[in-house]
Amino acid sequence: MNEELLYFFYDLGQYLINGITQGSIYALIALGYTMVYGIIKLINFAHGEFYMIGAFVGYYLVISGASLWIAFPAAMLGAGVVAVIIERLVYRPIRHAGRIAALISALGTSLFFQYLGQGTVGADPKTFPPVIEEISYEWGEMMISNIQIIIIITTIVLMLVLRWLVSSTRIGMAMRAVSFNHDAAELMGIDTNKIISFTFFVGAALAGAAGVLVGLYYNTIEPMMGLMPGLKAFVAAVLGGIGIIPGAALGGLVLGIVENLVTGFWASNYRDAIAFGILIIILLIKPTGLMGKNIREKV
Amino acid sequence: MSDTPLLTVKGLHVHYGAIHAIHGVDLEIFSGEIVTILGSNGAGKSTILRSISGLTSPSAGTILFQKQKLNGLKANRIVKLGISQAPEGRLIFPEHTVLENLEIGAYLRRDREEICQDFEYVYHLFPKLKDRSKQPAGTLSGGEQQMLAIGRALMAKPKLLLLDEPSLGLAPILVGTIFKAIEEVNRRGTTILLVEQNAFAALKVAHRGYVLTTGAVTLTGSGDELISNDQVKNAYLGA
Repeated sequence: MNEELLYFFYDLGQYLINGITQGSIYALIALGYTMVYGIIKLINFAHGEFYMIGAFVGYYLVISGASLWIAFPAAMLGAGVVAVIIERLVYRPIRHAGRIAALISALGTSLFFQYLGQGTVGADPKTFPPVIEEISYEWGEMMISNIQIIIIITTIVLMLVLRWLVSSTRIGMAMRAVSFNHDAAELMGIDTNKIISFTFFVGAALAGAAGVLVGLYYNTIEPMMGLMPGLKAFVAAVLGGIGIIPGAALGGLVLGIVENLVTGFWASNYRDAIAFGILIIILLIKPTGLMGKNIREKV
Repeated sequence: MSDTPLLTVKGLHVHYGAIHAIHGVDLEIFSGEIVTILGSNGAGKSTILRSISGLTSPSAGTILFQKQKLNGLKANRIVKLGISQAPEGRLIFPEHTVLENLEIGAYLRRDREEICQDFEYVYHLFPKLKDRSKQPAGTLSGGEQQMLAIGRALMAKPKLLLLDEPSLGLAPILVGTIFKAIEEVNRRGTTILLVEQNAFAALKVAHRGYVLTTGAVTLTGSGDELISNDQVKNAYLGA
């Protein structure tokens, strides 16, 4: 093969590996966005903060000597519990006050956590201890690290668990019922408040997991870390079709890959512009997203 | 029939914002009855059912079910007490299969064996649902969706079944099927409160009826009395 072409494919492969890794993180965060939207039609702009909280819970446990086997589930639990409290204190009281009120409250909640973080743990980035020694595997000019493999596999496992939870369990059936219609679900005896709390918990736990994975990957965390990935995950959720769970997974992966291709082949300056450009294009061309169906009018 | 009603509604008032939808309605339903509430569009029939089910909070009045006050209870608690509803617009879960819709109907129950029997019961009432059990409910025809809504409400094993316009938008032959099923459900011991615009079909199966006009009861009597009443004839039976 022509050497130039060979190197092109090496580059392409490398960008795909990095893109899938990055996309896995986006997908984990996007899942929570889309689940919460599905169940109460709220774009929870505070969702990125659950990712940050997960990262910090993981960080403090790891530096105080806990193993990752403890820190990782604890970070998911911590992020989930904070989300349940936020839903109860912030969103539930205004659930019938209209979507704009909820949206503004979500933005306020997001700022609250960003500055609460800066006020308590400080704005300086913290070094996430390299608890897993990084090993790189090379193939030609391409490289994949054990941490990338861990991120991808963990994401796949969490998605499979989520799919099982939503499609095959009693509570998953109830979640889907509530997301169709709250009154109808209540008439079946489903406690919609409990199901909504549970949905916040699961979504935030996935974001918390992503927070720890990112800590392991980039070795640095800070209180504002939730802002950009949170927005990107929102783009991913819209790209896949907001409210559609497999759509969030697909949207995250596509976004991660596109970002890395653009960064690699073109210029890293355009990375964010491309992400938000995708948002604009999808809203213009197919607002229901890649996996979205046309919205049926309710008769 | 016992002397104390299964359900008593006393002095019910409901407001939607500034709109006074229900003006002091009194109802009694005894165990074993089919009671119908007749009224035109906007008379407040669905609002009464929503209030009984706990989806709408009354501004005044009491609702008693087996001597327990329902006011202020959340809808899911009321289902647990034994009242289920096939609501206005059916509200079946379109992306769940027919089978899953029926399973959700039995959401609060743990009695596996009896749930299986009730599946058979619903499939016996509406054999079409059995044929379509694996299909997403959104693909059903209007009549089948209504059967599913009733079947789903039955899966809660209610003592009192609330039906909100089961005949709405259905071909006459399907109306017949649905009302035959309603009678059978009642024969098997379930008390039914049936809200209808189709007065003729409703009065043929009902023991008693109430006529609701703009939020107030204007007439009440047995099914036979109402069917031969001039006011009812003029307003609802087109005679």
